[in-house]
Amino acid sequence: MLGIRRRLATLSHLVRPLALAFVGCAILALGIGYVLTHLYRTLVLPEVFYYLTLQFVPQVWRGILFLVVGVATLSAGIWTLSDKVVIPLDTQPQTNELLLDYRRTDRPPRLAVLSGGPGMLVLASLGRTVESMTCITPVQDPVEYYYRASSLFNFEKVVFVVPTPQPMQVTFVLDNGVRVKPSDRVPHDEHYADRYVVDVQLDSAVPLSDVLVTRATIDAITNADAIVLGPGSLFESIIPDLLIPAVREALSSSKAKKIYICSIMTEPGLTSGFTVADHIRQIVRYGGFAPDYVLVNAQRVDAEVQRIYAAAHQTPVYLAPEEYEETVVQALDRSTGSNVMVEGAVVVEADLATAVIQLTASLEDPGKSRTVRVLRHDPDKVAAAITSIIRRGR
Amino acid sequence: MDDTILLFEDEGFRSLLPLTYTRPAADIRCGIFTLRERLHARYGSAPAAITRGYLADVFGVGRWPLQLLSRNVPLLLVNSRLVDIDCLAVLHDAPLGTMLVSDDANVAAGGGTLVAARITPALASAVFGDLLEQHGQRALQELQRFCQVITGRPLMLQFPWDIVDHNAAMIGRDVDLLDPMACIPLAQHPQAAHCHVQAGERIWVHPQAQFEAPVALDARDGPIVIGAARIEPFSVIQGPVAIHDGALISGARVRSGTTIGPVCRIGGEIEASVVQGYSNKHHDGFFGHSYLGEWVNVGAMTTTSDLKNTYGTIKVTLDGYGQVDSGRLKLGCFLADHVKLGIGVHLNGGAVVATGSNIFGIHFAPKTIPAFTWGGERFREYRIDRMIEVARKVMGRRKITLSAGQIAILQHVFAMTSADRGIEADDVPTFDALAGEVSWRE
Repeated sequence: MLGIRRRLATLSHLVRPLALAFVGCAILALGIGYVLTHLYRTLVLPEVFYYLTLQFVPQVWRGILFLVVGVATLSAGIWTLSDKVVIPLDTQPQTNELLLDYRRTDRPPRLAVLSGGPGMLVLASLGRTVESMTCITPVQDPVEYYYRASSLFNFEKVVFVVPTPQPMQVTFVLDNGVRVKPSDRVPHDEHYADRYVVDVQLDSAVPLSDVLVTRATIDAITNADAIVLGPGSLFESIIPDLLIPAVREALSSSKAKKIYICSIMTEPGLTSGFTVADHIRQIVRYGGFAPDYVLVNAQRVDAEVQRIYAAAHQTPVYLAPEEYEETVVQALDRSTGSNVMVEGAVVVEADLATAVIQLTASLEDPGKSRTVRVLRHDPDKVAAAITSIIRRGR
Repeated sequence: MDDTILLFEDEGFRSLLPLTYTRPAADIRCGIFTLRERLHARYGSAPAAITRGYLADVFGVGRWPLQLLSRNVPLLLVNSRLVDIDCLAVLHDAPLGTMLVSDDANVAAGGGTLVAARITPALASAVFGDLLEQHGQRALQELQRFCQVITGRPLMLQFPWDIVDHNAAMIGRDVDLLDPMACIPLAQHPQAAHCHVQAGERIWVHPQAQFEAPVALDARDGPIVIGAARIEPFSVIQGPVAIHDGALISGARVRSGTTIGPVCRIGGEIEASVVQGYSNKHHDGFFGHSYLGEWVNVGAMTTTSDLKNTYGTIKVTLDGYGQVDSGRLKLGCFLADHVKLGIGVHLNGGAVVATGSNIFGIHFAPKTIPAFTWGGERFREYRIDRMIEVARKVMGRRKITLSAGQIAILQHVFAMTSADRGIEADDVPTFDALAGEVSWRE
């Protein structure tokens, strides 16, 4: 009885409208009854109506029969209705709306992210809207750095995991044959300003195929709804993890949407002269897969900012004119209508960046500092773009 | 030691319910200390804790404690159910990346239990997500891939009766961790003459402890440790016993294997039991081989049985496990936090009264009472707003404020246990109407 009471209690907000509807139905039935009685008495009806109107049953029993069927139908109707009603929110008493039936929204997405420190900080705001966000740190980085940086903010549902418990050293081979490491701070060295990476290697005591990868890394990639590569340095933050066979296999076999956030500017000594397609080609080369989507900053970089970057041997990463040749229209894409396909990846051009004033200081000479206007990936814009892609086809 | 000490909960917290509804296992007293206090006393720094989400603000370091892995120092992960921490010494002697696994076969998962591990922050990051969700078995399997494994069988809490089982031994071991400034030999206490003493060399007392003659202290079977408590006349205390600061022993017989937590009032007879703290059993009545949580109040003449007339083993009904044979001949009751028992209530051996229940006006209480149950002859759901109102009053009497975090925990447990009650929420009598029925003399 308690269960029945509880279920019917959901109709408590409907007592008045239901009673009104019942009275209306009763009056309507009376009206129909009068009309039918009039027609029955004035018209000559075929024999079949004698049976249809149950005239072979005494009138009292006919009445009782209709009452029983009517009450049963009404009860069934109310019972069915009680399964559909949701009590209106007390928090919004001013709206007299009542929700009839509802459908639970899709579960929030699970994200896996391969990026460096600044990139993960850019993406961290996504933690509020996802079920979980696992950031897989570059194989050469200490994870404490990420936890230290993130603990300064109120991140939610974000964890950082290492691909391997022991950090591994990364070596870059530049186009002039020189071998350098991330710790050499190549992008800040004038000698390498126009150079770019032609090969990346991991220094491992055991064959890379035998390197044990953490289960959290594999699970994050396998169970993700979307895998985000970047934003961050292509060769320092993304490619090193792709060199580990187990990570590469997990990425290739994952059904998740793979979204690469392309750098806004080239990195001197690493990606000098690289276009969007060059960036994608490196992911295809080392990861063995083409991202499903590539987010490219379409915002025009103003001349002043361009001059600042040019002085540092950096240029904006845009689609080269010849890369616009192949376009694809996606049926599920209601926002843009058509996209460019590059190296098997759908390139989505969007406003992703914001110019910020950055204060740079020198450790050697703390008094010597300067402010520069730089372009950075905007967390809100990037989050909106990723969310939009995740929603496509869900 | 510069390690970050990190308590974690595994799946085993479930077999300790309902005692662990409102606190992690690491905050259950067993011996003189809780595990958290014991680690603090041993290592000199308060351990951090990863707990279930709804407990995190009060007992942990927040729901998303990313700062725990932010230091470039080893992490000492310690299972919240561990009791004896002497086993951790092997981890300090072993290389970083060593874990201690209990080979206890009596675990649900069958794969042993992760007791502790001393690992790098990098490796900790690989199991951090598991620990946040109390997936101890998953963490164990992952760490086994990368760590050196040492097996053993340290004392751990698996079922509620383990608290009672291990208490006496742990009092003896915890004596070594006492602060020598806070505990002096009884002989040096100015009121030592008020006590009739046996084996006085095993009795340590706080300089501010008060003894009102005559008091009998018998430490022949184990040490007696008394904090800044007040021991009233005609109290008999038989070691091993620990009595914490602010406690009042009102002519009670405190028998061996008993721990009285801080700010408790104890009368009548109590044996081989643990009173977590801030609880009252101030009047006559017997409690043996039992556990009383925090903010428990036991009315006069309320008594528990701890031995069956048939001398058979005592069964206990545990959440999610059904009836479990404890294998113990002597076992009393388990009263979770905020339980209130009226006068003259009799409890069977193995009785479990879950969080926040208020039982009165009944001679024999049912053996298992769900959380937030109100009544005696007829049981109803104890409305959470009224329960919180009472808790606020009770805690206010001890100058402690019921925090928003604690209220949230109670509300969460109330919602979580609603299916256990299956009793009507309405028609709960008002306090005024029951004023005559509910009488706890203090």
